[in-house]
Amino acid sequence: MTREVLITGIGFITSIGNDSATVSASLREGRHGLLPWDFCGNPNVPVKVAAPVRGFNVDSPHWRDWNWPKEHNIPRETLRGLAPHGVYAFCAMEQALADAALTPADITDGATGLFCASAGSAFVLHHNLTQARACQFERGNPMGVVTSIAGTLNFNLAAHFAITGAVTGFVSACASSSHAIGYATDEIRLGRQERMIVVGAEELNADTVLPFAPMRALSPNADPATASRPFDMGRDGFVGTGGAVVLVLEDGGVARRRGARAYAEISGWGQASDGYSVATSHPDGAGLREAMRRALRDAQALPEAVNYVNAHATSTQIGDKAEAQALRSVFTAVGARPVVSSTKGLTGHGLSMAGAMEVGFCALALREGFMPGNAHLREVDPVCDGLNLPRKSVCTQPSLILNNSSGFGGSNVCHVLRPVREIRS
Amino acid sequence: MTVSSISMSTNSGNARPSLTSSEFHPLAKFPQETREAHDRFVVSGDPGAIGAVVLAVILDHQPSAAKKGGEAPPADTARLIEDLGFDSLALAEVVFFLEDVYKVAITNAELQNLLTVGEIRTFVQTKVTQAYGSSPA
Repeated sequence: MTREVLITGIGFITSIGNDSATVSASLREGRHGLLPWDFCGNPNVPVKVAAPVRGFNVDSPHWRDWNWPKEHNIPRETLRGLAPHGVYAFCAMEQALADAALTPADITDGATGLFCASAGSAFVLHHNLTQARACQFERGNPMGVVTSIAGTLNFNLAAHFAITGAVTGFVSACASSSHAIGYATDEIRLGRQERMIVVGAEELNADTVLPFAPMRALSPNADPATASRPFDMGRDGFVGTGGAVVLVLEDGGVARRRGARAYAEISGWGQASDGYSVATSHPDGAGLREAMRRALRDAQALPEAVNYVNAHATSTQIGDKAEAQALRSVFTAVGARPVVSSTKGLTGHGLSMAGAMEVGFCALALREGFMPGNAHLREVDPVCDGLNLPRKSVCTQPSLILNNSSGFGGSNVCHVLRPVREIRS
Repeated sequence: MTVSSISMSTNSGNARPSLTSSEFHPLAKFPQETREAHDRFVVSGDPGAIGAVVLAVILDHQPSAAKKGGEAPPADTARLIEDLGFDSLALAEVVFFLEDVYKVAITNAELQNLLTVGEIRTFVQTKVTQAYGSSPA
């Protein structure tokens, strides 16, 4: 029998809260994290809204300038190697370990691995290279590489937390941390690791977010109350967010023996690529449709058993339409009508972090018995005909959840989550 | 321009991304006496003022696990790696930091001879004097 994979700890550093209780309340009450935002002091930039993390200041490329919640003690020799989003990840990791009732000593014996996802820090990379170019590469920050390239999270967190199990990073753009969760699930199912820590994090700054503007992927809407509205007729692009979410995945036997309190079981996952375009979704959502079917097969579940779908929908015209069609193929076509919502209406889009953040939301929904709604949805796009898109959160216990993620190049990843099974005596 | 007069890029709360990073001076977050020592050097070119800065930079980069707290400043003969708990990265950071403060380049060959606090201080004083003569400002 396949090993049971449980989520036993979560750390949230997000625009809608820096702890589970606040995040849960934001999801239930539809409190969004968006604010008017000036990315670079240029009024001509047509991007006016973002969803920042509160309680941190990592706006400078110099770690001596940074501030973070004082309950987290980041030693200097760790700080020197971190990117700004690494500070979010560090704090989310400590939070997740505490939530899972694990001490730092519990994760150093090789039975725990670490999979991370971020795009790296374009901001710090740019700063370091500007400095190096100014002196024609005669000098440079010795920490310049490890603070900035994709992989900075796994380099730093593995070293600081002395993790000796499987450690690597995932790079599939907005599907990155969803891939990390999928492969972490497999590490446990295959018996290679007893426990996997999955980290998704991103920065919110001009260098990370504004390069999406020339693609026409960012909303030019200056109103935080309507800028992110997945599945709405008036949607016009996504809103950027930063932060970090850390999940502790654990073999069910190990978790139960130590008396861990689990949120949810990851009962399957699937992936499929569009094989179509470097940056836009397949017009019919073909890859995502197949990813959902593969995930359901892996979980040995029928579409009819799913009663909540956390959609990837980022509030772009093309992406949301493709996903709506994929959802109709998988669910509406067989008469199933699960609640579908995109929590990006509340959070904006966290890029590499999105998958981990939304699996975290699904885990909260499963443990606490609710389904988030579609914030800011006014006029539903007719392409969604047949989909059940409640505006407000629903007080219904999810029985089986599907979580979707899609990234550049048409990478699609889907997870299936279910409530924790009763202990069999 | 003296260090103390440099506007710092520190913000509080949810401020916008800093636009002043080009004005950031590496010593901006160091104690007042270190910045004053550097100012003395900048104004007068006094190589003697470099010593206090070098020592402050070394202590700032010392890994926290190796710091006992409350002890006297390290002797000139203290070796960074063997006696002060530095790893090779922290040592490289010290060198880069001093390069950045004084706008000089230190080669790998030169670095190999810099093992103790005193060696680093004397080397930097010599290098800076060579680079700037008696009036760096």
